[in-house]
Amino acid sequence: MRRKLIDRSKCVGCKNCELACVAVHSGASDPLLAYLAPDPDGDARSRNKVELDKEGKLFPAFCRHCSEPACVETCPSGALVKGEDSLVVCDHDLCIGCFMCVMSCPYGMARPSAKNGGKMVKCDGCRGRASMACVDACPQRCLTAVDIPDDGEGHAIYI
Amino acid sequence: MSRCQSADTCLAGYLEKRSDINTAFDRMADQAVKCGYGQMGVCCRLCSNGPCRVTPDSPKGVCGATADTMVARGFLRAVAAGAACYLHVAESTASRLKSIATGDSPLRLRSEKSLDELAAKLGVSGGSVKELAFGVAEAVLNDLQRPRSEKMELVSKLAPPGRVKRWGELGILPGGAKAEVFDALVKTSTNLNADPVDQLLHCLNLGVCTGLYGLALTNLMNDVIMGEPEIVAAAVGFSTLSPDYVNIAVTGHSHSVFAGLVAFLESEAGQQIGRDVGAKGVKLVGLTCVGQDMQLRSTAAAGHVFAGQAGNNFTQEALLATGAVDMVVSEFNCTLSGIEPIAELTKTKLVCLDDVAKLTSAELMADRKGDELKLAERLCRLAASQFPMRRAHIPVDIPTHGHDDVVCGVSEKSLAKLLGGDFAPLLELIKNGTIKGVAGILGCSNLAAGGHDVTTVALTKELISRDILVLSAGCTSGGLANCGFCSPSAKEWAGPGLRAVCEKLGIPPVLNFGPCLAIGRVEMVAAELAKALGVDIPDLPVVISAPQWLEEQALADGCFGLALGLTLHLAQPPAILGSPLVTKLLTAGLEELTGGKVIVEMDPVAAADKLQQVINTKLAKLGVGV
Repeated sequence: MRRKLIDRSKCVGCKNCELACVAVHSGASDPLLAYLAPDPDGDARSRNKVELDKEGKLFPAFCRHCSEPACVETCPSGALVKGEDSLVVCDHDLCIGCFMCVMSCPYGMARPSAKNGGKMVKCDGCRGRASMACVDACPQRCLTAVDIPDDGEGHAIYI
Repeated sequence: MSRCQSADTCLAGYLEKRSDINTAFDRMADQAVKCGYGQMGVCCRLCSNGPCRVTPDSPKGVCGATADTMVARGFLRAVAAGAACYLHVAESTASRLKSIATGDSPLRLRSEKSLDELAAKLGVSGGSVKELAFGVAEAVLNDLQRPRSEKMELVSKLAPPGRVKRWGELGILPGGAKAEVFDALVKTSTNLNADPVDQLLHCLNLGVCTGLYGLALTNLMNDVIMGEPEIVAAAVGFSTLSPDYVNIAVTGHSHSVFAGLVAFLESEAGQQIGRDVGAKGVKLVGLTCVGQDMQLRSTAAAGHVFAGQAGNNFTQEALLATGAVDMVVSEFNCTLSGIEPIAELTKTKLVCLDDVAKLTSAELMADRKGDELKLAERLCRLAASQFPMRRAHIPVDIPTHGHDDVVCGVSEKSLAKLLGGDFAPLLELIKNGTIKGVAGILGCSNLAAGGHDVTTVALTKELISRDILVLSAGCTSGGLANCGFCSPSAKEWAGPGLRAVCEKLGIPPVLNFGPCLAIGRVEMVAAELAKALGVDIPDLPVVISAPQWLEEQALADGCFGLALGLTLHLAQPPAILGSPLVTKLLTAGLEELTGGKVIVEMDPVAAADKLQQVINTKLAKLGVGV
């Protein structure tokens, strides 16, 4: 299983992961074009965010694709499903923009779209892509892709 | 994340209450995550192969530039931009002096005494006042506009001989100042100079240009045009605003650009324009350094039409939110573009007098030499025309804020006068241990080092409690004045020795020299002390700190301090830490070259410890027991 290893001590806050995430979900081929690309649905926003913890230290926040995802449990429309590949992905056609996932995610990683009826915007683990955009963009190797079995701890592993 | 804090608790309380406006204090949280490469200075954007960033895995840019080269180039570019800013102010001041001398400008010179002194200092002779003024202006302009191959002539007349000799040995005596800035840009462009040491020496050269021309000469020429500073008690803070007047807030750095407006408002005709729209008159409200300069010279110019200094750079958004400002006139930085949406909300007219300070929604009403009084009348009428509509529809909410007993008008001359004619009494106080040293707390305010003025206030409090006299110039003094440190009652925070001196002279333990340009005045005090003691500046028990430096100009100022051989403290490092070589040179190696060095220390108590240690070492060398 493809999982993401996050060594937060290496993060320098360059936000390349955020930019790459916007780019890959905008349909544009690179971050510069992503800035310029039209965004009618308002969901070309980053699915991750570099934040500061209470001590002011950098914390790259990513969706964990939890083994028991609160967002999936609370989703009334069936839009959120944890797939066989362990990734929790939102089906926009089914999402009704009720914000239950936004309220239930303990990590704040379920976000509403700026337009599009507030439908959920979240990390899809780059399902279907050869590699993860954020991992590719990380110049610090704070993010690395590893192939290890699902141990019930979710997709993202913080070390 | 919560709003950025301020040492000015009243301002912080006002911002808390005014959640309807968005200010830098709110945006600071949105920008909390910083890019480490940018902070370390190892992101190079000079060519299309980049941006290149130095990491352990990629230690060189595509071109081969090392971290040392990237950092030194970036630092020199920043210093060059900062020097350019101050030189712009110096050049425009000299041009104004020249146009008054030729009679093209209708303005008058307010201090012929200052002109005589300045002309004598620069070796300019002439029979009439106009000849002298012309000669001084020409001498300054000629130097600024020389090619780089010709050394500037006034350097040796402005700097202590020991320093000029050292600068000559180091090869940093500047050619024409503008040409030095120009070639700094050339040097730091793509695949040009890659030598970090050469670039740092160029920084010191630009520091000399900045300090002697941008700072010292601008002050001295402004003394001629706008009058000499005299020590006087004055009011600061938002409470100086009165909604009964048409209020014109001024931002910028170039006092004499406002010479026409000041002269017009001093006249009956100027005040009548305000009365005609139902106000009691028209007043100027000080914001940022130009307000500090107005306050500095309030006995010579604008006195009764100057309401007071409202605050430093980061108070302007809150000041506009009071609704009591009818117009903002700016000629230079620090004019935050964040005031634009607030001005739109409060229907405050924004005007700039120089396109270097053009905000998107500001109207450019260019200041042209000769037309000063005509422009002043237009500005005054424009502000007054806002008054009836604004007072009828815009709510006014002015907090009780500031102090009315701030000791202002301190300069190298007025301080010597206060001490009895020269600096001997101050040296005596240092020799007998009453005062343990002198620290310049200088430069900007930022929101980064613990919050607005937080580190400035904490460090100042720590220093004065150790009987170290603080001289302040720039937004530091604006913040310190609003927090009560420039009022006589601040003696309570001083140690016993300094407190006794304050009580005897009726002064606060923090002397307010006014604008950041007056950093040049603080350094003139240092030169006077060195002369009186018969030593060179690096030997003095004097340190400087720009605890909350903000911008490129501060880096150019800092380079002057380093060229003078002073120890300079910064709470936050400039973008140099990615280069071991540049960091080592600035924090240690430089001491062997000029005697100066940089201390980076975020903690105010630890910073005071380190600064006091430097002072004590120098006192010991002078044979003064500590």
